[in-house]
Amino acid sequence: MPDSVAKDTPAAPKPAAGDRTQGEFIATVRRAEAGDPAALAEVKKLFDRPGAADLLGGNVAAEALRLLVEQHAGKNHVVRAAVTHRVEALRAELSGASPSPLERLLVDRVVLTWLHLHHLESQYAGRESMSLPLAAHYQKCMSVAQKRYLAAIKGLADVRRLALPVLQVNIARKQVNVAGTVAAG
Amino acid sequence: MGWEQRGGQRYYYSAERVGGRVVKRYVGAGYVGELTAKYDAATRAERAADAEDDRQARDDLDDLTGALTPLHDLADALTAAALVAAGFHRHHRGPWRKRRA
Repeated sequence: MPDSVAKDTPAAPKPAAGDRTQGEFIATVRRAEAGDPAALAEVKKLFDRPGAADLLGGNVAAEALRLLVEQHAGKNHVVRAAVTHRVEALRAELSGASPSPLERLLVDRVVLTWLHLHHLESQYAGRESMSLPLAAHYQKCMSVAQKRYLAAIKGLADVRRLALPVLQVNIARKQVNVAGTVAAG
Repeated sequence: MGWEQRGGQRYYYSAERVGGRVVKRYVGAGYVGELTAKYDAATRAERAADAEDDRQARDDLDDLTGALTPLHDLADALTAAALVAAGFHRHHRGPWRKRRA
């Protein structure tokens, strides 16, 4: 596992998740989405905890990254180092200066789905020959990976767009919309 | 497909599919039969190895896709949780909108 992943993502998701499983948490969120006030209160309570997203998502992101890098690089340490470096650069680029815990998790998802898609594409292109059923399976997996990659980007964009106030500035009759925090005063 | 005993002699037959039916073809006895039997056995082993490689490759692809599923589900759930907690809602998985006060 790359050091930075281990550093950014705490090992055990126990404090925020408490005795709830990930499936139970997802079910609670679905009920809150449907308008269940008790579930909504539970979700709000969870988000009062600092770093809830990190604690919940840390393990799964780190584990998925470890598996992806292992499969992509195999025993080649140079490829492993190069992939890890690229992943870190992409994470830093997407995270920005001060990402929230949720943004960090969503950035992780973008980076991992990007790596997954490119791993599949390079494997598929690198094979000299393959059977038709295996080629069909590759295509299916690449479709899933691409769909997830786009969904991950959209998720991050949604959170950034909706969570930040939009400041409208009119400069010489041209409207410029700036998404960002509004300085007090 | 294989060896058949006729009297005191063994004869090798191969099988192939013709027009959807399996047809048995006489190959020969003795050295020719032995050689063809070895060739068929090698071909079968090669096909089995290829099938095993394919199965392994498909399993690896599924493992990788499966490894990302928990992260994907959790990220979706946390995003929805954060937005619902901030007063947003969406209708039938449409765009997120701010709930009217």
